Amino acid sequence: MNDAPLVRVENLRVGFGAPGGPAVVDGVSFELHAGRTVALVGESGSGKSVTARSLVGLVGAGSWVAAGALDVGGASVLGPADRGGRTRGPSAAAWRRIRGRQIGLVLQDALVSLDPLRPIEREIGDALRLNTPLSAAARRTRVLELLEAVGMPEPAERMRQRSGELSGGLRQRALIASAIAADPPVLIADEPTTALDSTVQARILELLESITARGTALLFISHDLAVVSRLADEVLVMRGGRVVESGPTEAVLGDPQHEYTRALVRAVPTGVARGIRLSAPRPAAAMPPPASASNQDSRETAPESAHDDPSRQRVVLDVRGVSKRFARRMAVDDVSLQVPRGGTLGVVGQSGSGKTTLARIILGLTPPDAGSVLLEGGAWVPAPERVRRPRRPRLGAVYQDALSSFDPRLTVGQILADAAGDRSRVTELLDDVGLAGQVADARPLDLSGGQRQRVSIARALAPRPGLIICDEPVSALDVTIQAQVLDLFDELQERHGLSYLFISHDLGVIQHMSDTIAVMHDGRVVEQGSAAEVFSNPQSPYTQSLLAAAPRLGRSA
Amino acid sequence: MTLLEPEVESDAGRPADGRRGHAGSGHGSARGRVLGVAQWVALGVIGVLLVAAVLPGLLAPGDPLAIDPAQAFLSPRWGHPFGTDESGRDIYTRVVHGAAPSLVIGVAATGIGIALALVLGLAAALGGRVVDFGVSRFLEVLFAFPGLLLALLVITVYGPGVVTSTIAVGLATAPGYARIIRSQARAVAGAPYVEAAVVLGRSRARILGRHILPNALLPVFVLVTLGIGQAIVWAAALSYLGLGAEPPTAEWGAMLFAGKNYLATAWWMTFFPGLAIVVAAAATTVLGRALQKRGAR
Amino acid sequence: MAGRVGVRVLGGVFVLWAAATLTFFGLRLIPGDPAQAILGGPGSQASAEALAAVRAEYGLDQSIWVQYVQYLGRLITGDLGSSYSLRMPVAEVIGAQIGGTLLLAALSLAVAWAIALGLATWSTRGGRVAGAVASGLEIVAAAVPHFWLATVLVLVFSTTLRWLPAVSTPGPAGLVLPVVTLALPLAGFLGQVMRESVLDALASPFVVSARARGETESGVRWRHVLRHGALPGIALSGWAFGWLISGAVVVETIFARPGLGRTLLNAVQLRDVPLVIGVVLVVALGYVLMTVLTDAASRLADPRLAQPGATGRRVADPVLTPSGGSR
Repeated sequence: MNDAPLVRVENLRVGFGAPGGPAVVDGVSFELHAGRTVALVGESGSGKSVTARSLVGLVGAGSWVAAGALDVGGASVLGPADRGGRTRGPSAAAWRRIRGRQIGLVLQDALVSLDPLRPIEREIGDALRLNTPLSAAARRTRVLELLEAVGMPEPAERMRQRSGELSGGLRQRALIASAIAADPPVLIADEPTTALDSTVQARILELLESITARGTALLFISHDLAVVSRLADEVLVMRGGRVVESGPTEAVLGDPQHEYTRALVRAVPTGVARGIRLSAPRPAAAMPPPASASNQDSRETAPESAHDDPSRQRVVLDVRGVSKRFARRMAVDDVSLQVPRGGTLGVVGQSGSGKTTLARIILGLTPPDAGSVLLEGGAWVPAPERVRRPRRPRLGAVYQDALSSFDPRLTVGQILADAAGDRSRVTELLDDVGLAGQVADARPLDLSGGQRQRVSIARALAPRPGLIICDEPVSALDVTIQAQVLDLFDELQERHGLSYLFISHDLGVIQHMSDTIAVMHDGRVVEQGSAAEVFSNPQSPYTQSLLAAAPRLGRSA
Repeated sequence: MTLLEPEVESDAGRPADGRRGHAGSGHGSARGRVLGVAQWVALGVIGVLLVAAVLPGLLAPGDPLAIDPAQAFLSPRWGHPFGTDESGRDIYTRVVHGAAPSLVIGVAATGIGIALALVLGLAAALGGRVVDFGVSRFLEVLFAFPGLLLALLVITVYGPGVVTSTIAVGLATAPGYARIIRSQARAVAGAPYVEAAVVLGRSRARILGRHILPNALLPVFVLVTLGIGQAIVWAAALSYLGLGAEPPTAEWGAMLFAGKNYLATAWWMTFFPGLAIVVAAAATTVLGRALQKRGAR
Repeated sequence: MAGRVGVRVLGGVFVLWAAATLTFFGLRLIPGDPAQAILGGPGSQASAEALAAVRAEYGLDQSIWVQYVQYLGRLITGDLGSSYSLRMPVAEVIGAQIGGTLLLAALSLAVAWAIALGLATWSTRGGRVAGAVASGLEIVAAAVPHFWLATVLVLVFSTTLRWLPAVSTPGPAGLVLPVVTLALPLAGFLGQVMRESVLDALASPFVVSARARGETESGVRWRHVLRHGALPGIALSGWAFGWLISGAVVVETIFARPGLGRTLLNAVQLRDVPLVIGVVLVVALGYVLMTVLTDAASRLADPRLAQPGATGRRVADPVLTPSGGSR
């Protein structure tokens, strides 16, 4: 390879509070070389962002940093920690010579990572003003060049706009332009594509690749193994502040040695056939105790009798030509779908494709302008709420943001008792979703994201529905938690004969969960068919582009 | 302030949350330690005020109206820590005994304001589009008579006096409260957990009683706490202008009114009653904000 | 933007009409003979001729609807009737008094802004202690009644130090104490919201981005944070105007300073109904104008607000105030 590393980190430890106390980053070592990409992979709380920010001295107030070596551009940025631990190592001025000039930083969502009150020209120009001797006029020219370099269309007009006036992809480009403005040899990108749709993400990743191709060293931080596998030469898998495994990307992700890495890799649903578990089987202790088994037995027979009952239809949910217009935009445009009994219909689309509006129409929360929805063969939408209410127990819902779907005053037990209309079923419901009985006394705020989503599923199950509408139920979760929750959905489907309408932006999740798939784009269903057909032989150009943009584990392209 | 307005929603792409309270941001949560030094002091002050209001004799055994012309205009000294007024009445005793009328006026005015605001705010938030439009326009019109002006209008109609001025302050505060209660109730009524209850097939009445009202009314306690201090200030201002309680009532505003003619010679006559107002108002504010932070989580 | 302003102007006209109507019918609630009330209430012992003259002038012998229409007609032409107590047309009285009050309010607003913004920016720099001190100062300032603050200021600066006049004289020296009296409590209110906004901004990722490109601490404050801190201040200016006018009633009285507030108080005390109505309607007009301006200024300063469906930071009403907030 090449000469001296641009950044050398050896046994890095970072913590908050008293120096020497518990560390949130513990013993991380890596080197950054020109033109190479190192990725830090881990779930939330793994310490990957803190590691990255310690390179630019921006860990935050009250933090301390210690390391065997922490060199940027050949010079150490370590020094005696001062009493307050506020700035350590080099003086504030010395840090400023590193920031922007030697290391550029790209954060997650440019909507909030660029000052929303200032035009992007000034945000990018600031990096030049601070780090180059250019005059105001020269800066302006350079900003234009930079915007062109990051693929900003109509840069002369865009540079006068603020981050809020740009689309997600464009403002992320502007943010990258501001980070590379002073031509730093090292770029840190902290979850730079997490807020983006997959097709936009693909283009931003291309941009980052082109930047490393020009010789910039990239420290890439992500929770997404597929993205990392595409971009990184070397990967460090972090958990709880420690590196559990590191090495060349192909080796680590292709043949993971550490148990945690294996769990991470296994948790990725993309390409995993339907019905195969993504997470380790639930330990025996957490299995539902036999006490509640009889209860479940009675329910397990329900689907059987449903088959015998001629009045029950093969199709649980029948959406017929539903449309909804908001202001100028058709949010949902003549959509027809069917959910088979006991099966899963996956609805996939990017943000703004109308999938959430569709879910709200089906749930009877938003009246459609046209079309109708039949639930178990009976009229459902449009209908007066009075007519719909007695049949509501047949239809459950699980939302993306579980926390906000719970009344903040109520405990888990109260929430579930409310939903079941029966206090005695709370423990049984918690068992059903793999939660311990004590959770009943907790408030949702005090639970982890995965636990909250389990409670949310338990609530949906409480009235014994036949169909559950799941609107992005796992997109706020870490990948291993996501895997557990997806497995739970599968278990429950089998146990209770449930049907799902499963909405997600994530092709991998949809592929893994669905029997049939509907692809939505601009309010329309552009393609519909069995999961296997749609993924192996997509017909519509939009589906094809979506599939092409989806990052996959294992180096593509 | 965050509690009283719907929180700004953030965009979809938040990082996964997983575990709580771990690295990343650097600002640790200060939850749990809601009562700091300032809050304890405020609680203590309010405790003393309540004692003064209920059992003034415990803190100041004298008679607030006892005249002793020989002792007139004494500056603060041993035996008269706050001095005496033009008739030789002990200012300290009067300030202590003034707690009851001042607090009663403050509480009553806030009560009137909040009660009106609850009716208007909840009607606007929950009564459908037409009611909301009507109430909102009505509130806008009331806002055009800012603060004291609405109170002064009321006093013009009904004449000065302690009852009128209390009602006037209550009316003047109502539009502000109503607007806050409306937006809070609207936020709650549109909250995802209310929709979740609809999806579960709950009736409108049940959703209202179980979810909307409790959550919309909780912050009203904060409003009341924050409001009482300010109501005391505004009622005292009316008294000071000679439109509210009248001397020789031992009410703080009225004492200020009585003292303003002797400002150059007997500053203590206005200083100490005024100080009582400031301390009372600041203490309720500190407490109200602590409640607010606790509620906002 | 133009459409939005148009809507606001229409709304303002509606508010003014409704305010005038409310005042008109509200004052019919005064018990007894309105002519008697106009002449200063039951205690004024007005002569029969005077009563008849007033009835004729105000058309009180006609039906209430005719009176109402005539009243609106006069308002549109700027005729606010004449003051009984001052024996002058109300419009003339207001014309003579309004300048002083507006000057007082504008200066106070500017001073309050400077103090609040300065405090907000400084206190968020110096760590926990500075924050607590600033928060305490703001709360106490906001709790201080004008009449007491004025008293203390006069005691210190006029009676004891003899630096400034206790009675507002024409000229700059006479303005100092009234302006400080009005500005300090307002700064307390504004400071609370601004500091919160500054803290929010400092915790935002864009500040990390700015620091990561090498921005200095003062650069972060001047170029980024200050504007965010000022936003709620702009949004609250309409509310602050109403609050200042309301405070001017007290302050002008204490400092014996001629102005709208003092005129209003005298009119209320004398139950000079035409003058009360006149002043109140003029203040309402000012308030409406201020809110329209504030709205436009907020939109200019924060382009997020101008976007359809934008979720820019919304400013909460200062809860601590009787008059609520600005939106």
